[in-house]
Amino acid sequence: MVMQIFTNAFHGLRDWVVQRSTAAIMAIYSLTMLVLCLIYQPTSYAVWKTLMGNACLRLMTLLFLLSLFAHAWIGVKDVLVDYIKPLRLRQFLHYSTAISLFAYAAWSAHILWNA
Amino acid sequence: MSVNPAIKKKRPKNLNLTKVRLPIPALVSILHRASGVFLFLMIPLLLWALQSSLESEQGFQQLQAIAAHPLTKLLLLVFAWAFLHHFFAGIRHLALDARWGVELKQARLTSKLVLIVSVLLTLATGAWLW
Repeated sequence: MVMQIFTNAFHGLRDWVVQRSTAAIMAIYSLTMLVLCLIYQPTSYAVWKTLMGNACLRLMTLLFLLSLFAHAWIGVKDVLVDYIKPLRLRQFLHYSTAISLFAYAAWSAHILWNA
Repeated sequence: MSVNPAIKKKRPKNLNLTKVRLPIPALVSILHRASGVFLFLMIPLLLWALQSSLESEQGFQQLQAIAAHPLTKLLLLVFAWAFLHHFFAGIRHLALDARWGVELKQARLTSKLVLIVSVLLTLATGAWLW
């Protein structure tokens, strides 16, 4: 059961849908952020802090980051399956990637609500 | 019985990657992967920068000073290219999923567009950074 999660088998359609929906979320967020930065010009801490203090933008940022981590998980998984032949090494990289991404998610929540 | 001469003909087996000429859509595809891996590796730096920028006024100013360093600017330029290429190649991918531009001629044209637009916007980013 555990191995199924770390192989590409049986997850084709789900991965396909997740990869594209997260891509759309990130694209929309990136363009929104670009426009906001052009409007507010956050070149000082005060302006930047006020901008990111907006609860809606904070939530969008978290959604963006979580999308990024899900997107990266599928992408990196595909790359590892294609190029890393030694099984042990591939498993190691799979687990390292998974652990890193979970840590990044926790770190993101911490940044957005405590920093 | 005569053997079809086409079967007897020796064909080159170009399995040597250095001898295969990469079609433009394949180039866009492999760069999509490479830029994706690079962006993945940049995630901790991105989160660290976000944290520093929000934590304190001092952290924000420190980040500005780091961003002004020529080597940081170079890294930011590579980051900009990776982001832009991945962004536009991704949009091209979504279009292909919707069966837009799957004909060879259009596929080549959109591949060229992805390469050119991302390089041009990277140059624009560079001009803005310096």
